[in-house]
Amino acid sequence: MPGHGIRRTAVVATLSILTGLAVWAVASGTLVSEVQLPHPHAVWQEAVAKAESGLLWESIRISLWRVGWGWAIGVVAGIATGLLLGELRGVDAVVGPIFEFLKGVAPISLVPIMILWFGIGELPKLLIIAYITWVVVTVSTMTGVREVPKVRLRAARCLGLSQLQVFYRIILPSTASYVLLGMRNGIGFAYIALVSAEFIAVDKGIGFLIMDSRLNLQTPLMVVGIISLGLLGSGSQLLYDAITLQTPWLSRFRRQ
Amino acid sequence: MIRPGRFGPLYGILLFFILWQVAAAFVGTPLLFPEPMDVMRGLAYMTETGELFEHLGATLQRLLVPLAVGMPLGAVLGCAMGASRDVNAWFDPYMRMANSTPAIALIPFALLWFGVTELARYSLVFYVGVYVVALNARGGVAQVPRLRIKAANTLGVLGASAFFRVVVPSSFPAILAGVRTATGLCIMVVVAAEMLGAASGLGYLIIRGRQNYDPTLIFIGIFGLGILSILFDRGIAFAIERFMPRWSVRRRV
Amino acid sequence: MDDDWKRLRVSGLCKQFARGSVILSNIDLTVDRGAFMCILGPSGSGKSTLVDLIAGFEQPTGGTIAFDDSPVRGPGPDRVVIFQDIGNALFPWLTVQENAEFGLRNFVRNRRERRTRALEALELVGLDKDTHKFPSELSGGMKQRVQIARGLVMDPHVLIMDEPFAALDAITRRRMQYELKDLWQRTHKTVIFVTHDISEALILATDVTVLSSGPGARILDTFRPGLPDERDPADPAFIAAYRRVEALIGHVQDAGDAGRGEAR
Repeated sequence: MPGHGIRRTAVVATLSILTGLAVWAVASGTLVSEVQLPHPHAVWQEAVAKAESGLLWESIRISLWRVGWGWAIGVVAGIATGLLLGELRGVDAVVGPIFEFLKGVAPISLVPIMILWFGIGELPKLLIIAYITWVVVTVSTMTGVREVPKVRLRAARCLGLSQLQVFYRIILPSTASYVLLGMRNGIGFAYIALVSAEFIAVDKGIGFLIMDSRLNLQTPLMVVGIISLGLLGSGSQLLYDAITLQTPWLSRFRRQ
Repeated sequence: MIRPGRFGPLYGILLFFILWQVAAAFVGTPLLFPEPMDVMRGLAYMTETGELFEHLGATLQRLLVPLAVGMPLGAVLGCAMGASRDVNAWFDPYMRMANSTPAIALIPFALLWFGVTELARYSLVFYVGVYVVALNARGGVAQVPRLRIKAANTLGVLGASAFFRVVVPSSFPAILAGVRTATGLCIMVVVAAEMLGAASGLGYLIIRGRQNYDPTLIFIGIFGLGILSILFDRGIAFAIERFMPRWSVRRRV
Repeated sequence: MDDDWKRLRVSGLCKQFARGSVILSNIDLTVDRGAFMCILGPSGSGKSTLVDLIAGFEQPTGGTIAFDDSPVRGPGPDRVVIFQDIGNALFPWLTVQENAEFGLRNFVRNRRERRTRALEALELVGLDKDTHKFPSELSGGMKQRVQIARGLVMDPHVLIMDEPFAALDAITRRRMQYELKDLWQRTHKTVIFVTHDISEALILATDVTVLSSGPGARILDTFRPGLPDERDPADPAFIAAYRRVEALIGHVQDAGDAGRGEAR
C-alpha cells in the first residue's frame, strides 16, 4: 500500500507540473503578451545562450561567493554572540527586544546606508548578508542555551564538572541542534539579503541579472535569473542538510 | 548577575539608544551616521506635518489588504493539502518552488506585469501570504496526534466531520504561527517593493533619503521598519493570548 | 574527600524561600554508611527540596549537612543524584557507554580504565549488551538503569535517588525495585531514596523516614522496619509496617487539609 501511495503521488505531481507548463505555454502570446510571459521555449533558449556565453555561470559564481562568505561570517559571529548572551543569565529580557527589532529590519533597507558608508564594493554586500545571518543565528543560539534542561545541568554538576566543563561538555552539545537549525534558517535569509543587495547596489550577480533584464525588457533572462536563484537557494539547503545529516558526529546532536 | 525583572525590555531600549549614541559619536559625522536625537527630531517633525502617518499608512495598507485575502485562502489550501494526498501532490511542487525562491526576487516580475502600481505590491504580498500560511497549515494538519482523531472516532465523530471538528482546530496554532511568519516576510517584501518603485511608504522614505543624501531620513525609515515589525509580531501574539486564548501555543504544553 | 566516613548527618535543616514560604523546618536525619534510607512523604512535602539541599543544588536557610564532621558544600560526585526526569537526565548526544563514562573524565586519566569501569557498572545493571545505543533507542526502564550505572561509576559516598521509578509503568517499576534491591545487596552502597510510594519504601529500605505534608514539612517518624532481607508484601509484618506508615501520613493529611497551601 505505501508503495502504491508514493507512485500515485509521483504521478499526480508530474501531471501537475506538466499542466503548469502547458498552461504557461498556451497563455504566453495569447492571454498574456510574450514580453510579460515569455514562452517556456524562449526561456530555455535564453538559458542555453547565457550558459554558453558564460554570463550565467559568472553571475552564479559571484552570487555564491557573496552568499557563502556573508553567511559564514554571520554564522561565526552569531554563534559567538548567542553563546555569550545566553550564558549571561538575565540579559535576555534586556537584549531580547533589541534582536527582535534587528530581525524586523529588512536587509534591503540597510543597502542604501551601507553603500553610503562603505561604497559600492563587495564589503557592503557581504556585511548585509552577514548581518541578517548573524541576527538569525544569534537568536536561535541564545534560545538553545536558555533551553538546556535544568536536570541535565544538575546531573553534570553532581558528576563533578566545573563551570567551564559544564559549558563545553553540556551547554555546547545541548545547544548544537539549535545552532544547526539557526544556520539552516540563515541560508534562506542570506539569499534574501543577497538579492536585496544585488538589486540596488548594481554591478554583477544573479540579482543584478534579474534587475537589469527588467530595465531592458529581456523577460526570458529575468525568468532564467529567478529560476537559477530558486535552484541555488534550494540547492544550498539540500547541500546543508546532506552535510549535517551525513556527518556522524553531527547527527548525534539531533537525537534530542 | 543582572536582575532586570519586568522592566527588562525598557533597559533593552535604553541600552539600544546608548549603543546607537556611542556608535554615532564614534563615527562623528552626522552626514554618515545620525545621532538618535537627530532621528527623533526628524520623526517629531514628520509627525507634526503628518507625513509620517501618510507613509506608515501606505505601508500598512499594502500589507494588510492582500494579507487579509491571502492568508485565509492559504489556510484553506494548506488544510486541503493536509487532508488529501492528491491535493498535496498537486500543489507540492509549486510550494517547493515558492519556498526556495526569495519573494523579493519576484518584484521585478510583478512590476513588469502590473507596472509601478498598488496591484504589483498587493500581488506579491498576497502570494507570500498564501504560500507561507498554506505550508504551516499543512504541517499543522500532519502533526495532529492520531490519538486525538481516535478520541473523536470513538465518540462517533468520523471522517469529514472529525476533520473539521478535530483536525482543523488542532492545526490552528500552527496556522497562527504561519500568520506571524508571513507577516514578517511580507514586511520585507513590501519595503523592498517600495524601494524599487513607489512614491510613498517606509521603503520610499529610505530611497528618498539615499537620493537626497539625507541619512537621517534613511534612519527614520529603518527605525520605523524595525518598530513596525515588533509591533506586528507582538500585536499578533498579544491578540492570540487575549482574544483567542484557546489557540495559544503556550496553553498546549 | 575523606573515604573513611561513618554517617551522613543532617541536623536542624531549614529551607525558606525568598517570598517567605517555609518548605522544610528543622529536619534531623542520620544515614549510616551502607544504609538504604527511604524518605517517604506525600507530594508537596518538600521531598525534592530535601534532595536539592543534600545534593548541594540549593543552600539551606539554616542547619548543616555533613559527612561525620566535614560539612558538604555545593554539588559533587560524592553525592550523585539519580533524577526522575529520564528524558533530560541522560545526555542524548552520547551513547550508553559514553553516558556511563561521562563523570569519570575528570578523575580517571586512562581511557581504557574509564571504559572498563563504565562497562563494569553497565554490567551490574544488565546493560553491557547495549553500550552503543543512544538514549532515544532505550525504554524508560533501560534509561533509568543507564543513569544508575552512570552514578555508580563515580563510586559516590551516597547515591541520592529522587523518585527514580515514578515515571515508569507499574510492572517495570516493580522489576526495577527488585533489581535495585539486588544491586544494593551486592554493592552495599549507601542510598537515600525519595518516594511517595509506601510499598516501594518498605520493599527497599533498611531505614524509613516519614515527612509530614508541606508547607513547613517536618519529620514525623524515623524507624527501621525490621523486615527480613527478602521482603514479601504479603508478609503480615510487611502489612503491619504499611498500616503504620499509612496511619502516620493519613492522620497528618487529614489535619493538613484544612490549611493546605501551595508547597512547590
